[in-house]
Formats: sequence, structure tokens, C-alpha cells
Amino acid sequence: MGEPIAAAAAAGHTTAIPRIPREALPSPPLSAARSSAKLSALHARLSLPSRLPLETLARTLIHPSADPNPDLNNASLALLGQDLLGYYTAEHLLAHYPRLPQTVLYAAQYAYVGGKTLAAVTREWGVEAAAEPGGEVDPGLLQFKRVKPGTDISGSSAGKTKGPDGVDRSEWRLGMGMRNVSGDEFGDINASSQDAAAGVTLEDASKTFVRALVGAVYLHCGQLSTKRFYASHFLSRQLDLSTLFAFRTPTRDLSRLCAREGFEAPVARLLSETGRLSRHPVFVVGVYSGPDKLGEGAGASLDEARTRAAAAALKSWYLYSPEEVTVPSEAEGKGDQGKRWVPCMVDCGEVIA
Amino acid sequence: MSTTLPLRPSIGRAASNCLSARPPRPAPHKKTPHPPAPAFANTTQPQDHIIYNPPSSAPNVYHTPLKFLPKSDRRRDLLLAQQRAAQAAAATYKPLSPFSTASPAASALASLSASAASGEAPPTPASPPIRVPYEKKYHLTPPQLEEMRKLRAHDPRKWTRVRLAEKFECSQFFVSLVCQAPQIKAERDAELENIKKRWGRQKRMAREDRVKRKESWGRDA
Amino acid sequence: MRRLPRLQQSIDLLLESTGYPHAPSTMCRTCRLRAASQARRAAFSTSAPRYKGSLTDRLRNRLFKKEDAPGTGNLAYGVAQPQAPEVEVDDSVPGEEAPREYANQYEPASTWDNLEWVGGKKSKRDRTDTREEVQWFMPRTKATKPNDIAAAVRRALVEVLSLQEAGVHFEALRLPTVSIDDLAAEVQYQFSTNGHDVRLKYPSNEVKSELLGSVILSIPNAAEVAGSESSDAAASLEFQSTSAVVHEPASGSGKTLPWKEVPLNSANKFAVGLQSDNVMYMRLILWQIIKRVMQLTGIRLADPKIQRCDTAGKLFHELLQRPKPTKLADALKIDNELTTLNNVTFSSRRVGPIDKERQVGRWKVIERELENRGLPVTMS
Repeated sequence: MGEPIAAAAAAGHTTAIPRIPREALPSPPLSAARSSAKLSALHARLSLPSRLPLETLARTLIHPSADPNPDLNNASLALLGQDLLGYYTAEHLLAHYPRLPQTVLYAAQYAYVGGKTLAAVTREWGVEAAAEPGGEVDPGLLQFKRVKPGTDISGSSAGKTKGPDGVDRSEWRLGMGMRNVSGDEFGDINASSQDAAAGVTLEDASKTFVRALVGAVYLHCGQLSTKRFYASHFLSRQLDLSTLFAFRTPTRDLSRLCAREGFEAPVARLLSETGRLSRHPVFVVGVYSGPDKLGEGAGASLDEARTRAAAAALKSWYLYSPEEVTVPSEAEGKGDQGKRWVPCMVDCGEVIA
Repeated sequence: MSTTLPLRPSIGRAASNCLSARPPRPAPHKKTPHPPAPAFANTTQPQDHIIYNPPSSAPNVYHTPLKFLPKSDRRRDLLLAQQRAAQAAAATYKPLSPFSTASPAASALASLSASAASGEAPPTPASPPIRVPYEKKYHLTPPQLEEMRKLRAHDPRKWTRVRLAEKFECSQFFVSLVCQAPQIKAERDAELENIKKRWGRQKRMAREDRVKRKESWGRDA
Repeated sequence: MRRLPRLQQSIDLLLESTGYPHAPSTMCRTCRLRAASQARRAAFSTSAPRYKGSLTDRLRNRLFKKEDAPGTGNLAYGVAQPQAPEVEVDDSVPGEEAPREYANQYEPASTWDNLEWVGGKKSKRDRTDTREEVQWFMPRTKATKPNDIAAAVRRALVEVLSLQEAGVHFEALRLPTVSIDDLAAEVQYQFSTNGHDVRLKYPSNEVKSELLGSVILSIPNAAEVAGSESSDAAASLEFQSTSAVVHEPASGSGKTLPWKEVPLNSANKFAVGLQSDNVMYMRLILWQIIKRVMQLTGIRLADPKIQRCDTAGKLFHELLQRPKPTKLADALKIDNELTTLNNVTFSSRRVGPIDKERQVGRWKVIERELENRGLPVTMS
């Protein structure tokens, strides 16, 4: 039997390879990327630079649960993209709102590039999900192994309840320090560490895809294109930071703040009122530090108005935004490529009452 | 031979006895410009001007007040300059003589403009403080604090927080910071629980709503 | 006026036997009598016949405007058929003779022996008729290749312009037997000294004579028109050279045009100083060229397209344009814009629900589940 094979090899022909049906493959072959209309349409719809090839875009749509091969799935790209997104968002928030408290910072970060946001972004981009991953699936669909219905995904069971010293921390209160040290860019400690083979939710797959896409854009097209992409798709989303605050004792916090900054003690003054003895009175109260008004609030009772005014005053302190801001990534680049670096304002910290 | 037609008096016209002669049109009247009615006469502003009268609304939390601006911010200087200019303008708007017979409206206007320019509320009864401001006294020494604790531990029912605050001339809150009486707290809590158990559905819901409302004060504004 | 129906008379009964003996059996006796009486009545006429000859003969004579028009008799058979007898009026009562004459002339055949075949399976070769070959004006198949079409246009230009130069009156050029494509490629086009017309410039005299020879060959009646008896090419050439040349030949001076820029309808360009008959002449040239091109390629152009052809290049461009395919599938295949679009996929079959499930990846799950339950899976 060696002769025919040798002859065939001498002739330069390979032996016949049995054709594998596409269904047997875990993900579509790279050659299918060129013939997929969905993929080309997605590329054009997002106005992706032409330097980003269709094959890479197809790769960003394949979750590790669909194809464990690290060369063919988006895990590595997603890692890079996650760091990039977190970096750009954090520098934007810290540079534009230097006085934001840590919790609000985490919340804003999540609002810009968190899991739910990225899932919404995927939906807005019109990326549909395949029902079941396979080689015959259209490369333009998001491919991932779906989690079985009925599985508990609340994440309460999964979590670092035991510390390195073996102490059970499940009953400990989660403080800001713990979040800063052990949490991810959103301050979450119970990061999704479930087994990818067991299946993932659509939200998880979507956020992996978006991160992978950002990573792919960075690798193929450079930082400028990535920043432009980020600015047009993520930074352009409207977020009202004032809704992220939740004060427990605003009056006390305000008085601590004034004491710290050396202002006169805040005094709440009644600016106007109506219907005091009726069922729905309205009191408008302004908080003054000496002659300067810090904040104003209206409420149905004097206490409420005073509290709201203090909260407004604190918000106007925390939401201060400098005029001209240079973000660190803008100043990157050798020589004259980047902008001239102007140091950002660094605040001494939030008020801890 | 002339026809027997009814003659029309046509003064100054050629003899034309046609019936269809129109009456002479009056000469066009030279229109003199009428002065505007007194109600619409513009006496205050000789030129066109813009009236800026926005509706009253709560101030925007994104507009940082002058006091909160850091020293390095350029807007601080701009605002200060603006204030000084407004103050100067208000200062020049003075009555002619100290014994002026200026109307009270004009004087009120002057005072208002002065106050608005400086960005302060006039310290008038119009905006009284809600709580009377008091000076914080830090007069208690550690021995006094010890005494406070001893009293409280000795007889918590007699030496309540209220009485201790009166005695040492401090606030009840400060007394609670200094000394605690856990068994009294437990008793009071048990009493409160009993009372709460006797609440009906509506009352309970109303109280719960009140708690939530209080929480929202710090959140929504 | 219609003949008034008259009552059946006793004499009609006598004529019954001699009425319409060969009438079909489906006719009842009354109808047979009626037919016989009507035939008799139609044959009966007291006035002299208005026209001599049958209707078809009269029409033919009128069309050809002469007495003995060609085509008398049935051409298809090649043999003049016996005419229907002219019914002449007699003073005597036309009785049994008229129907009897009719009856003798026509008899329906019962078998097909000795009858003519019309159409059918017999090939062209087996036809025994001596009908002359029909000369088709245009070939049945259309030329598709751009090279062929270009060659045809150039050939048409050369032929028509050479005829124009030679002063030969245009006749219908028949289908060519000789190919002059190579020679036509060598001919150059030039504006004449008066700047009105386009002249042919031959690279050499041999080329010119060869071209003219082949052109004359393709005109069968040129010799007749010229008036000479011999159909020798040389003789006709001589005749061409000696006949009054209407236009001067191409001179050395003048700008050489590429063949695509040869104006076909230059009436607009040279409006100044153009005589009316010259305009007509130029339009004739356009028409002749287009007719010749149609003959050579088999492509018919619509009138609006012909109007648009100012130059030979535009004519070439119009000829290249093929008509739109009638089927959407064919139209999509040739549409380059659509086929090169990345976000468009074509499917040879209808995309059904199974295809859609397969694209999403659900079909294999469905198949597996059906097999697990032992249910039949449709043939996909």
C-alpha cells in the first residue's frame, strides 16, 4: 500500500480528506466570513475602519463557550477590550468630575461600560444571537452556549465568602475599602466566575462581544480609531450623574464639608412658602454659608425642604467640572502627537461624616 | 335738438350728460403719521431690547456656586468681576438726596438690585433661618463626661438623656454619643414593637411610606 | 338590397333532384333545397358582369397597377390552378347547368394521394417546388461579441462611404460573401477639404481596389444599374472610375479620424453653408450605414436609439447594449453592482424555514430531538 501513496505524494496530490460537515465544527470556518451578508452589513453599519478584517469581526462574535479554541474565540480580545473601556471611562470621569465620591464613580462606570449597558449596545447595533453554536451558523450571529433554563444565576452562591485566612466573610459588611481592593472596575467582588462550558447568559455573551470588538479595533487600527469608536458609541450616551447620588444624612455631611473647607456653618433659610396649614404645603428652603447660597430645595415639610437643599448643595460640590480638561490618553504620543498635558485636578476626597 | 335727459349738475366738467357719470373721486388724503396710543408708547427703553424673564425653577446642581469653585478656576474671577460690576451699578443707582421723596418702590428696587448683584439673600425677615443658629460649645471636659457616664449608668431612668443634656448644657445627641444605656434601649424597643404590632394595615403602610419618603429626600434632589 | 324571399314554387320541387346532389348528409332536405336555390339565384343575374376576373385577380392588378400582374395563379403550388368559372349571364334560364358546372369542378378527396404537402416533416431539401430562395434581409442570429460588432460597423462604414465616393446610387446591399474585415481595419477616415464630409483614405491602391472589388461583388445589381452588360469586377471598376465622380476623393491634407469618431449625422455640426440636399445626403448615409450594420450583425436598433447616434462610436456603443434579460435571475447574474456587494447573498433556491433554522443553528437540535423521539424528519 506504500506504492500508491508514494506515487501520489510524488505526483504532488494529497490523499482524499474526508469532508467534515459544517455542523460538526464548533464554529464557522474563517472562509465563511467573506460570504456572510450579516457580517458585512454589521461592519458597514458600525462604520468600522477597513483595516479591521471581516475574519476578526467574525472572531469577536464567538464566545469561549461556543468554541474553546483560544485562537478562534473572543476571550483574549475581550480581556484587552475590557481594560481599554475601563481605562477610557475612568479617565474621563476622573478628569471631568474630580470630586465624585467613590460609590458614584463605580456606578457611573457601570452605567457607561457595565454589563447591562454593553448588552443594550449589542441590541442597538442589531447583533442577533444564534440559537445553538455550530459550524453551519451564519458568521454574523453572536455564538455562545446558552445557559439551561432553570439554572440559578443570581450569583449569591458563587462568591468569595472565604478569605485567604479561611475566615468566613459572608456576614461581614462590604465596605468601600474591600471594593477598592478586591473588586473589579465596577467595585463588584462577586465577579462572574461561572464555568463557561455550562453556558452563559445573553448579557454575558454580549458584553464579551463588545469588549472583544473594542480590543480588535485597538489591535488593528490603533489608539486614535479606538478612541473615536469609544467616543461615538459609549461616551455619547447620556448619563445624568446627579441621579446616582443617595445621601443618608445630607445636612450632617454638608456641615462637615463646610467645616473642612473653612466655610461658615451652613444655615437653612426659608425663601418662600405656601399653604403652611393646608394639606399640601410647599416650602422652598435655601442653604447659606454666610451670605452665599449653596443650594436650594423644595419640600412638603420644613425638614424635607432643608434636607433636599443640603443634598442639592452637596451635589453641586461633587459635580464640579473643570473648564478645560486634558485626559491622560490624549497626551500620549511622542513629541507633538499628543495634546499638551495639563495636570488634572485631584480632590482631597469625599466628605465622610 | 337736445334729448330730454335729467340734467345733472356737473360743475367744472365738460357738458357730458351721460347718466353713468361717476361722482368725482376725492383727492387722496395725505396720511399723517399718528402718534402711538399712550398705552403702547415706549417710554422706558428707547431702543429694542430683550426681556429675559425665565420661569422660576430650582437651580441646576451642575452650576457650581462661587464658593465651591476651587481657587484655580477661571470662572471664579469672572463671577467676581461680574458681581463687582453689578454692585457698582447698584451703588450708582442712588436717590438724589438723603431726604429724598423717592417712592418706596424705587428704594425697594435699589435694595433688591444690590442684593441680587452680590448673590446673597438679604438678611431680612423675608428669609428667616429655619433653625435658630447657635454657637457650638465645646466646654465639657473629660471629668464631666465621666460624671455623665456615671450618672447614666447609675440610674438610667432618672438620668435620662434629656435631663443630662439640660444639666451639662449640651445636646441630647452628644449625650447619646457619650454614654449608652443598653437595657433602657431594649425596653424602649420592646415597647415600640408592641405598639407597632397594634397598628392596622393602613397605619403601617403609611409609616413605611414615610420612611421611604425620607430616604428619597437624599436621593432625588 | 337583399333578395326578397319568395315562396317555394312547384317548379322547385322538380329541381330538387338536380339541386345539390353532393351536399353533406347532415343537411336536411329543406336546407339542401335552399342552398340549391340560393346558388341558382346567385348565379342568376340579368345584368352584365361588372368586373372581369375574380376578386383576387382584380386586387392584384390594382396593387401592381398593371393588367397582367405577376402571381396570377396560386404561387404556392407553382401551378396555376384552374380558375372558378366565370358565370356569364344567359337569357335562358340558368337551370341545371350552373350547379352542374360547379359540381364538376370541385370534388373533395377521400384519400391523400397526389395532394400537396403543406409544412410538415419534409426538410427543405425534399421540397420539390421551384420557389426561389428567400433572401433574408438580416441574419437570424445576433452578433454578440464586441469584436464582431466593431468589425461590422467598420465594414459598413467602408462600404457605404466607398459607394458614396464612387457615386453609385445606393441599392440594397445583400448579405456579404466576402469578408473584408482586415482590410476595413486598415482604412482611415478623413475630413475632406471642404470640411463637410468624411472621406476614406486607403493606405494603398491595392487595398482600395480590393475593397472596392469586394464591395461591388456584394451588390448584385450594381452592374445592371451601371448599365454595362458584363459583371466583371474590373469592368465595373473601370466604370466607377470613369463615371462622373460626384465627390472629390480624399486628399492628403485633413485630419485623420479614428473610426469611432466618424460622424454619421453631421448635419448639426456643419450647419453653416450646408445645402438642403446635402443634409438629406448625410442622413441617407446614416440610414445606409445602419441598415448595413443591421444586415451584418442582425441587431435591430429602435428609432430613438438611431437618432442618438451621432458618431460611429456611439452606434457601436448602442449596438453593444444588449436588451435587458426577461428573467430576474438572469438580470441578477449580470448585474455586477449587486453581485459584488458584500452584504447581499444570492440563493439558487427559495430560502425556506429549514434554511432559516439552519442559519441560526437550531436545525440540528430539531433533527436530534425528532430522531430521539422517533419522529420523521422532513427531507431537507
